[in-house]
Amino acid sequence: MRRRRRESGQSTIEFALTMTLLMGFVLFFVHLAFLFAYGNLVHYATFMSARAYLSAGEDPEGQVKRAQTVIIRLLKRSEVNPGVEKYQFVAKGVEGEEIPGMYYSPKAPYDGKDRGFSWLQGIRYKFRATLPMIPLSTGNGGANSLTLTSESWLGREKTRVEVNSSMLKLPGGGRILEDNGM
Amino acid sequence: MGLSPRSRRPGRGRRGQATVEYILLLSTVALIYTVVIKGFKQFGFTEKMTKQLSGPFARAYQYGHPEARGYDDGGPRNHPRADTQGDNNFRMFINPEVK
Repeated sequence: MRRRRRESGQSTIEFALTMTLLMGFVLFFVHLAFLFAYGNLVHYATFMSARAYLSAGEDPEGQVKRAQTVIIRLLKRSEVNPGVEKYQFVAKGVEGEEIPGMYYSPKAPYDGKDRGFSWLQGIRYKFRATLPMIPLSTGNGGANSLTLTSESWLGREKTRVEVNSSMLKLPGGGRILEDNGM
Repeated sequence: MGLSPRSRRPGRGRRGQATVEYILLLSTVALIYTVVIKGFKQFGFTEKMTKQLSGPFARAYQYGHPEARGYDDGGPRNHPRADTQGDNNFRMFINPEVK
C-alpha cells in the first residue's frame, strides 16, 4: 500500500516529460504547415500586386499606391496600420520599403534601356517565420527562423502622365488627342 | 548492546528517502538535458535540421527550383529569364549528371 502511494506521481511526471518533446515535435510540423499555406497566399498577393503595379494608375505614384493596397488588403491587418500583420502568428514581413516586407523599386541589374534587363520591375515580398523547435530553440532570429522571398516580375507599363509627357516632347511639339470612347 | 528504539522502527528512519531520491534524479535529468542541448547547439544541430528549409526550399519557393540562383545570390543559374546573355541554362526538369 505504501509502495503504491509513493509511486502515484510517476506516470504524471513521465507524461509531462514526454508531452514536452511530443508537443515540440507536433508544433514544429503544425507551424510548418501554416507556413506553406501562408507562402501560397504571399505568392498570390505578390502576383496580384504586380498586376496592379503593371497597368493601373494615373502616374507612377498611383501604380505604387495600388500595388501597396493589394499587399495591405491580403497580408496586413488594415490600411490604417499597414505595419501590423494579418497572420502574425505565422510570419512577418521583414525589411522592405514603405510597407514591411514589400519592395517595388526595380531590382538590380535593371536597366530600362536594355531589353535584356528591362523586365526586372515588379513586386517582391520578404517574410520571416520562426519555427518552434522545443527544446532546441524557440527564440526569434535564431537558427530556427526561416526567411522566404516571393517575386513577381510582370514589368510596368507607362502611365497616362508619362505618355502625355513623352508626346509633348515630340518634334514640332506634340499634340494630345484624348479619346474617351464616346 | 541492543538496537536503539529509533533503529528498531524501519519506516521512520527512511522518511524523506523518496524525496531525496526524487531531487537527485531530477537534478541528474536536468544536468543531462542541459549537456545534450548545449552539445546540440555547439555542433549546430538546429542549423543542420533547418538547412534543407533555409537552402533548397527557400530557393524553390523563390525561383521554382531548389538548385536555381538569382542575381542576388550568385546567379542567375537554372532560372527562367527573358535575356539570352550569359549562361542561360534553365530547364524545367534538371536531370542528374550522366557519368
